[in-house]
Amino acid sequence: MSNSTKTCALCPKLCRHVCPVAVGTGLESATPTAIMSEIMLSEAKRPISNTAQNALNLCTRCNLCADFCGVDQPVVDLLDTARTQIVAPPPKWTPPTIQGHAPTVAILCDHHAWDEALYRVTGQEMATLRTPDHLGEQHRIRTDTKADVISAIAKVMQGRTAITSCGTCREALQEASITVEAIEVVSQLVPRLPTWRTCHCEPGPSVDTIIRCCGARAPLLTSEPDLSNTIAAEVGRRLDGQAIFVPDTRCAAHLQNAGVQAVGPIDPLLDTEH
Amino acid sequence: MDLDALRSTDIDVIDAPLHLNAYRRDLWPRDTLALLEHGDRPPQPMVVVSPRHTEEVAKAIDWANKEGVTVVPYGAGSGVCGGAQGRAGSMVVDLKRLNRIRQLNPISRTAWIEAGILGQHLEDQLASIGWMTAHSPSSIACSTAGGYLAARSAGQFSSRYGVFDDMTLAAHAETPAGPIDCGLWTPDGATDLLPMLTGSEGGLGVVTDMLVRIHPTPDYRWLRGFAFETVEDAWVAMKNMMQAGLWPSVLRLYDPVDTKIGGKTKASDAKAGGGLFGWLKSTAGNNPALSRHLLSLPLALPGLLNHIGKQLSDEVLLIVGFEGPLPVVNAAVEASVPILGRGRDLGAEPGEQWYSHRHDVSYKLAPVFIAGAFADTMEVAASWDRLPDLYTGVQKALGRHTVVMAHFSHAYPEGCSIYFSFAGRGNLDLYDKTWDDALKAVRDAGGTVTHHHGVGTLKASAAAKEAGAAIRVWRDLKTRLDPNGIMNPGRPFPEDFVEQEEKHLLTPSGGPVFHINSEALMARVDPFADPKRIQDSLAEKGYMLRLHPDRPLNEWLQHLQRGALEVWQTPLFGVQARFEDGVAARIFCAPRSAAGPDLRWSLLRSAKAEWVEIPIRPQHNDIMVAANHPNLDVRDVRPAWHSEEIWGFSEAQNHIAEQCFLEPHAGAIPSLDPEFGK
Repeated sequence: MSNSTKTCALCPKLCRHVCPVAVGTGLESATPTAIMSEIMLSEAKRPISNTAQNALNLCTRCNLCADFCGVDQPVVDLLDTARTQIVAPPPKWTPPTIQGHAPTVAILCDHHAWDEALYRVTGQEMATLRTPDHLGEQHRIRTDTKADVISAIAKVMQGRTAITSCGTCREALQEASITVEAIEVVSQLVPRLPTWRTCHCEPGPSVDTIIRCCGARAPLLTSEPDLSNTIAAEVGRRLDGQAIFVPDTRCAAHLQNAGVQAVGPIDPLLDTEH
Repeated sequence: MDLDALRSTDIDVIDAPLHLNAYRRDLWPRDTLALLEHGDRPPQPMVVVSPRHTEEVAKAIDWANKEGVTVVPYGAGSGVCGGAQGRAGSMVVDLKRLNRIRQLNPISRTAWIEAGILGQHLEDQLASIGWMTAHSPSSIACSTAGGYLAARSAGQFSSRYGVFDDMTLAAHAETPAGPIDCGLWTPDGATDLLPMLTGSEGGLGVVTDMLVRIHPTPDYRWLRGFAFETVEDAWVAMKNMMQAGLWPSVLRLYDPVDTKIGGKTKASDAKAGGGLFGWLKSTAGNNPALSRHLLSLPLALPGLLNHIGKQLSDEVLLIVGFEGPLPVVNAAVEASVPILGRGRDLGAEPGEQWYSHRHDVSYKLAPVFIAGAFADTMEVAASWDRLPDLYTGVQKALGRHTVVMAHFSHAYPEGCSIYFSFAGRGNLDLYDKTWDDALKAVRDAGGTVTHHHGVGTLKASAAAKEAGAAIRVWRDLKTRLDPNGIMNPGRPFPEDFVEQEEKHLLTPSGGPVFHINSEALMARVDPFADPKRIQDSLAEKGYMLRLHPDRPLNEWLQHLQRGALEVWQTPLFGVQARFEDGVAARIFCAPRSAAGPDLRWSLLRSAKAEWVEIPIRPQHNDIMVAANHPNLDVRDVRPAWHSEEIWGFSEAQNHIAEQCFLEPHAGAIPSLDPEFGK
């Protein structure tokens, strides 16, 4: 076992106050320290206990813990490595295909065809890539399958520029060295609302709710959807009815499902449809 | 066990192994050592409840009381004494979803907060609107307000703002016998139980709500380092600062070894946040095989290393800080100049370095354990006259087994705390032996075994010995509020502890002033005497009362309300009283002791006081003249004696009480899925 894992497992939980799962659910088991403790103890046991595998699912990989850590522990990397060691790999990932030949590719990771709405506003032609699994997110959270997925994304994109409003997809594209454009026009369409700064957003004028991740990322969302919803609802409770702009499509949709008055980047585009 | 009945109450009930595991241990280093040595953890609780409202806490306790289930309140599990250790068959009440600031009153300068709020979140939310509690323990990122009250926490700015006891004006708790409101929320005619609730470590009930003092965030902060030739010289400066009423926000002294290892008096090579654990961490490095080797030699020969450390050390570092409005800071700095005159001014850097890295030490413990050693801390306190014996006695006891250094970071007019850091190479046996010797040394020196870490499992027996026969008032209350004994049994005092009468009772004679302690500026007086007689008697010896009772102290002290005095106006230090059956109890002066609840007030009510120890001041004092600067807005330097004046019960304080009404709960908190993690 690495000393880094032990360092986290024996830490006095100094990053617990930034962990969205620990704060949003109040669960002691969701602190990065508690998760690492289970991993550390599982090392001595064979077969690996269910609790260690379940512990790994209590993370959104938002990286806020690593950002805060005073000794620069790569917490998310450590968890990805542990996941590779103690959780069976998923079936091989099949890369999606791009529809169309335009040099810019709209990454559509939800059921909204916002590319057409964007075309009506901007006149920019786009190819489309539909990826309900956020460009192999489940495979990118493991060190043994990550490189293959990133390589496949680069191969699929073939140097074309991507346009996306999803932080999860943007992260994958950037790791594959793909140029990513934001949906510039949206800033003109969005009403003046305070911005909720999420774990994917650049710092800026914002409304701060202490919880900076809505919980809508794997592995938590996949394995513990109810806990993921609890976090989104907790964000809403702390916002106390305040309407917000959320620069990430995925987060906005997750918050909206939890009853939060959140406006996402593609919502104004879709509104122009009506 | 009828868990279905508990689930039917709508409380979120958690019993999946993954989640129960997380509540098996807190941060007691002994449990960390056991985990690494043998893979052992304390027992798993039976169930965890995660209440969202006070009412849910009450329902959970009611269920546990009917079922005879042990209840362990749990905040963030940052205790270092094993107070929240897992117990087989127990119900853990996790309070972290009680995390709201319910009301903020800028006029009375109070905030009504829930017990489960993390310290960092509390300060962040208050700071966003220009306020703070100013409670800043090293654990602020990983500890809760309820934990601060339960273990009597102290923060890094306690010399100005007080410890968490001082900050807490009222509290609400749920007990097996029903809810209790105390402090400023005490119902008319009822006894204020807040002193008994503070430090009770869940032994009486679960604190759910608190009213705490808040302050505007300071406009200006001044930090500076001074080098003194000896610890004793620096102690004098610290004592004079506090007794002059300057109330620095930071007053932090490193002993010679800590100063030397940290390179702290030399700005050029200052290692901020270093200290013993930082030095060990840097010694250990990142290579596990190498670090074991590098650490094994020095830690195997602690006596030699301690000796060398002392021989090489030549100076001590004192960091001083003031904060507040500019005129106040300026005046305080000006008034402190003569007091700090024996120190060598090191400029701002040591103080600012400390401020920037003041929470870093918490990161340095894990590498020591990983390298095969253990590390721990011990925070004790004593009145100024006993401080030298306490320092040398505990240093010697710890130094027999471990490498040790110390700093002094919480000072008061009557005394100071000492924070020992120590590290050793060995197993649980050596760990236990080290603590046994150190706790005995504290008792021999007349100090308190804990200043701000609370009692837990580690110090329960020592705290009970310290309380002596006064433990009877705890047991009486425990029987009333928790008749079935379900609340965190054995915390803070062991259940099987046999009370013993204090062997060293001090028999009063003469009077009304029996004894004057000129170092700690306190007098042992007759609690039934007319205060004017006490004042006259003190005047003959050149002293005067610091506070001004309008009736005999026995009566005045019993009716003194929480929040009536400013944080630094401690009205009572020690007391000796005799119960009806002739057994006498003595509680000695132990500045801001965290050795269980504050038993003094209940003792005054339950037994006949024979003497009380109260604060005094010299009638004429050059230091106080220096501090009494025209711009210095510190009430406590007012030198006049007004027999008719009752300090503290001011309009402003009465206003606080008027503001402390409870509101209905608002906002729906999302529930947890009972099936998760299974």
